[in-house]
Amino acid sequence: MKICVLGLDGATPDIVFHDERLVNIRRLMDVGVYGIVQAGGESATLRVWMSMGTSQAPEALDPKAPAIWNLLADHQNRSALLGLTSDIPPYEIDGVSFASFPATASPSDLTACDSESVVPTAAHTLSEQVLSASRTRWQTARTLFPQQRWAYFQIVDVGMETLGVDLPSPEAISDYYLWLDEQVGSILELLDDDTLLLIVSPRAIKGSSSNPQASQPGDGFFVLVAPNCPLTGEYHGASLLDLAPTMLDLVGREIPPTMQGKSLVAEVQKKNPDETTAVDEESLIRDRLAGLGYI
Amino acid sequence: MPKKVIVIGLDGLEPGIVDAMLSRAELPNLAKIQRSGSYSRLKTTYPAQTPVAWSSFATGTNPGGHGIFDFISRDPQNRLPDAALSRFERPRNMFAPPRVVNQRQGVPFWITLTQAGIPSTVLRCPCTFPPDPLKGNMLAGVGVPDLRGSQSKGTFYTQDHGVQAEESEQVVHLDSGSDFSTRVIGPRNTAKAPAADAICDIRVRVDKSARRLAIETGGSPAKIEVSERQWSDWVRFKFKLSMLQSVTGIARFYVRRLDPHVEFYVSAINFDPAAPLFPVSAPPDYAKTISEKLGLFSTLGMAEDHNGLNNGRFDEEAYLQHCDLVLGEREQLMRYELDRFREGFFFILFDTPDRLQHMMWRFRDAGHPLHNRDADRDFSTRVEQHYQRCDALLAPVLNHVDEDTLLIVLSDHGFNTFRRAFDTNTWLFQNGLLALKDGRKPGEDRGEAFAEVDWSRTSAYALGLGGIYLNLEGREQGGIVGENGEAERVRNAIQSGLTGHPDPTTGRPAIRSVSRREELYSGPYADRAPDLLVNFHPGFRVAWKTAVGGFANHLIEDNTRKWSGDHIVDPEAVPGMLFVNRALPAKGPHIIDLAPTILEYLGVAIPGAMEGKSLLSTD
Repeated sequence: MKICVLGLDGATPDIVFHDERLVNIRRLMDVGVYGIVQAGGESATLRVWMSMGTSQAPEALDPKAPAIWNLLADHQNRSALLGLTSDIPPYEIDGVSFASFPATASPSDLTACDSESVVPTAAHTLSEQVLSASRTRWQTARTLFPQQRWAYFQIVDVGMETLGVDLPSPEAISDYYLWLDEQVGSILELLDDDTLLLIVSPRAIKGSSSNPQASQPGDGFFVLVAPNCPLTGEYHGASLLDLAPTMLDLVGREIPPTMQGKSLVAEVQKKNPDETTAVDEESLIRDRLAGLGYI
Repeated sequence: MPKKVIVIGLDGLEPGIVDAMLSRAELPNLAKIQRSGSYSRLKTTYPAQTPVAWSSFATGTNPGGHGIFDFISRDPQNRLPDAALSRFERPRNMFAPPRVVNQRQGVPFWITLTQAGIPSTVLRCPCTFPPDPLKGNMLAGVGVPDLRGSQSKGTFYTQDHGVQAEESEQVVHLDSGSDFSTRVIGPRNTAKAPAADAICDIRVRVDKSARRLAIETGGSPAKIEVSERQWSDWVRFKFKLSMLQSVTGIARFYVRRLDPHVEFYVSAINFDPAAPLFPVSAPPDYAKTISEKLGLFSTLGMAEDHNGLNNGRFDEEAYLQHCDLVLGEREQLMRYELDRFREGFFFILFDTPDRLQHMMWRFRDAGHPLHNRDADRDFSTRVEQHYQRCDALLAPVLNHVDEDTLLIVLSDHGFNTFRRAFDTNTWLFQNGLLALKDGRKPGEDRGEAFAEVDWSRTSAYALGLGGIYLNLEGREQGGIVGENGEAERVRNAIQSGLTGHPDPTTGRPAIRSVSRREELYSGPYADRAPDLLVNFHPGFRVAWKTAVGGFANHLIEDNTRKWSGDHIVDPEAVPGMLFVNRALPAKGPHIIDLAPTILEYLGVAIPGAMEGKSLLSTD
């Protein structure tokens, strides 16, 4: 089973868990497990995401500790990290790593890159630039994802995090969440049954133009869907450090001792992914024809 | 000024009635168009069915070019009947959303216009669900289901617990008294096992002195009052599908009576135009925009509630009220969009004449088994009154026609009576071409989906509204008829046996002819068509149960349903009508000629796949 991680950096569960317009994310919540991820004190984006990948507290990251994308990548099934915001040079992995994207870059420029860096060329100070950069990032993901079988594929959208600095209007923020949900939907189109999907925001940016002081990290969230995941519904008490061990557990890989979190499914028997629901097809057809008038 | 084309579709307008009314000067606007240009019969498709004909209008091809041959199709692997216009795809995995696919193939001419940069407004054309990605706006028509996935499934509420559900409806038994709670039945949630109905609780108070119901809807508006024998405005309901997912839909209430039992009806739950379960417009938010400008409107493909009348849940007056509501919404939409229309192509279809004639024809046919039955009013001229209403729709249209505007008013087929039903499957059984299991006879089967058919001894089966399929080896699962001589023998036996088949009660022929697929269809999708098509004489039609793979009790029997007019007879007998505000050099227009005509008028090259000829040229 491969892993696909959609990082919505800065997104808040206050909106994602309550806005019914976010139909794609809510559909995933319905079939998977979801919950709050408590915000730590760390604010540097790279350290937060490295903390998730290595399952180590951000304030005590061991540079030698393996991250989940390193553990899963091999010569046949590599890893891809898109938008793991970083200083230059970008984080090196066995696969593809893009540090960040210039707003004007096109996916065709990027898909040929392999273990190379694409350097941000402009500060994202305007919302349209943020949106443009995010568009490029998601389009790159859509182009790159089908190109090979990835062991681990991760895209991190930092639009909310950047918009938090910009303090846009609530309407603009609301629209951005709706747009993000559409991007999630577009990635779902590319997934097959043999996939573990994680949507995660490690911390929420809660800025508002009326209260700039409120622009502090809040709790993040996760939504996890996998064909063999035995958990459904809301999960209480998950930590950001638990996500990598949980994913490794579900794909049947050993959890290294350097990981400080726990698998959320360690004590629960995994589901048989082949279990299907019997459907009365004749009854469905009868319903489809009902009311035709001619019959 | 840029050139414009305006096309008004009046579904099912019968030229024989139009001729008579024109001669009596009862259709002044159609007469005005005739005087300024031309009026003629319009050849229609085989079969003369709404989705088939309008798909040929859209693509300029015979049905073999667009793949719509009937309302009903079948999967040769299991021979089960299914809705032919769109296909519901189950999610392919836990990540994917459910999806609907339009089964109409080919390239509609508004896509050709889009490629040429010309905008279109296409409102309620059949077989546009999900909508085509055109430049402009599109609202889908026939083919859009209700929230349960049905073509139209309403709910009847009654305090009489002896009432049972009839065709295509749900019945809810109410508590006695004048203050009770009940539920509106929403979509079936098949994602859960077992599938369960999503519901919305409502509370009803009976006010007998004011002769109305006060309903706490649980939706929006939260409270409504509906008088006896009246329809309500739209109510928006929210149905929870799970803890996290919900869907909204809209419906109208109709209060049938308060005595001796309280009885009311809730229409099929339509997709909410502001948040449809699947897109009903292009761009997707166009339907929402329209609902914000003009108010909620019916999104259901077959919007007029014929089932409620067929099942006796309300009377003709209520049905006609409902037809007026649908027509009024459509007219409002037409006026709004015509006011904004500046260039390119405009189309709107009014389906109501078709639906009204289906249900009211018996009042104008003294020979119909249900002529004037159970009606305390004279509806004998109700069809003609509706034609006048349709004519009045054209008055505001004419105000938008200038010298650069090509105006076309057409019907896709005509209409006739439906007195007698012919069970083709019983005929196949009687002639040794279809066998039932365990010695059963027609009428002793389960009634649908060929449940009792012995396929190892069956050569042919009838399905849909006139089609016959051979049980062909290599195509049908377990098919027994070989492609070569055996198939030809079966085809010949059916053609010779059915052509001219008499109705034993009158001696008149019930069937004019039987056409072969290869005579009627060509193109990339011709192999999806039935092998044979039965062309009935006017007055006859395929039996109700035959259409879904069942058997009637008799080979030919009276049609005792209120659905009393029809057009699924020999298409030569039910041509449509064509009014154009230009003299047409070409003679004998066919519905496939409209697409190339419109393209030529707007200066766009006619694609090679189109078979029709422009009616504006003499070539």
